[in-house]
Amino acid sequence: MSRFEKNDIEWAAFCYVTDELNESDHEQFESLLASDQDAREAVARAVELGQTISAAQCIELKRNQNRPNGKSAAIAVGFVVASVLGFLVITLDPWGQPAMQPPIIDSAADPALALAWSQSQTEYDENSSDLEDELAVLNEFAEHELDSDDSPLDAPLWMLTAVSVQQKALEESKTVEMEN
Amino acid sequence: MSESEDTKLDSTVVAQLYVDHAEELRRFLIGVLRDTALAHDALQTTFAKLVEQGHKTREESRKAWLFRVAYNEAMLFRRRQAVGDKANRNLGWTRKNESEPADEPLLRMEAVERVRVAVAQLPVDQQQIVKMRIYEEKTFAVIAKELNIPLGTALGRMRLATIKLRAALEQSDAEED
Repeated sequence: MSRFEKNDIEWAAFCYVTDELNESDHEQFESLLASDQDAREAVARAVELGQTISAAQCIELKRNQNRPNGKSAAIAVGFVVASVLGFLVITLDPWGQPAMQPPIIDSAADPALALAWSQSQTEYDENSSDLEDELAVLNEFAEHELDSDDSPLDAPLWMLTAVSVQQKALEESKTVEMEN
Repeated sequence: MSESEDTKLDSTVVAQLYVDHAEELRRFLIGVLRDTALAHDALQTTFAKLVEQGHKTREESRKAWLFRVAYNEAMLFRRRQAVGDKANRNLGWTRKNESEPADEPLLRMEAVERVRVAVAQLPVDQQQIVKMRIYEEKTFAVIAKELNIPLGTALGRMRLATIKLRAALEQSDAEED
């Protein structure tokens, strides 16, 4: 069998179909093909192997292309995390309403500014307490409105309050008149 | 009906020989001709000769006879088409620039999958050579140069890889039988 040993026939056939044999080996292998059935069948097997590996590689590459790569996956994860954090910041507002922090004022150096700041703080506190009172009344009103659904003939609280205030004012005016 | 027609192989025998050996013959012809369309034509001529002369062959040696005729036809095609030039010797596994005949032998998916798994299980250096040689169609000389390894090392890795991958392919064939 010339230089192609029986054990090497598969490899020789593979090298033949991939054109890796030199000119001399190529001619010798082809003359072997003219007479050796094993060599012919080895060529058929080499072609089948090459085609199958090629098809397998194509499938592998397509699967890899469909898989997101590391960079794009990291970008996608980063985007999702940023979106979730943004949503949480907007909805939960973990820092709350920014508190009005009093500036550090050296009253000795600038007494006018210290006085102005003190007055503004007092007004803010008063306004805040007024606002809280209004909210409390509104809440009470709302609760009463809900409670009053089953007794529509009861006078609402706001009406009773208004009447009592008006009555008190009338009594005061009468008292003043009598004193006068 | 003439005497020669009487002695021709029965059409069912020819059909059975086609079923049994056409795919293997086609691969052999692709290996020799490096051209799927030419291999297809040579295969048709081979079976036309079987119809004409098959009755002169012994049943037990018909497969070898078919391969011999196919080889001779391939050599004739080569001479006629001048496809034996060195420039035309490359066999494109991926057939990027070749039109495929409608009856191109289909690869069995289970065989492809088994070989795909076998490739993935190869050592990385062998995987690399397989990919570069089969898919990228680089010669071993180019591969050795690009990887900065001796040519013998590249050949050795590929040889080891083909032994393992052929075993996977044969296992798939055995399971099918």
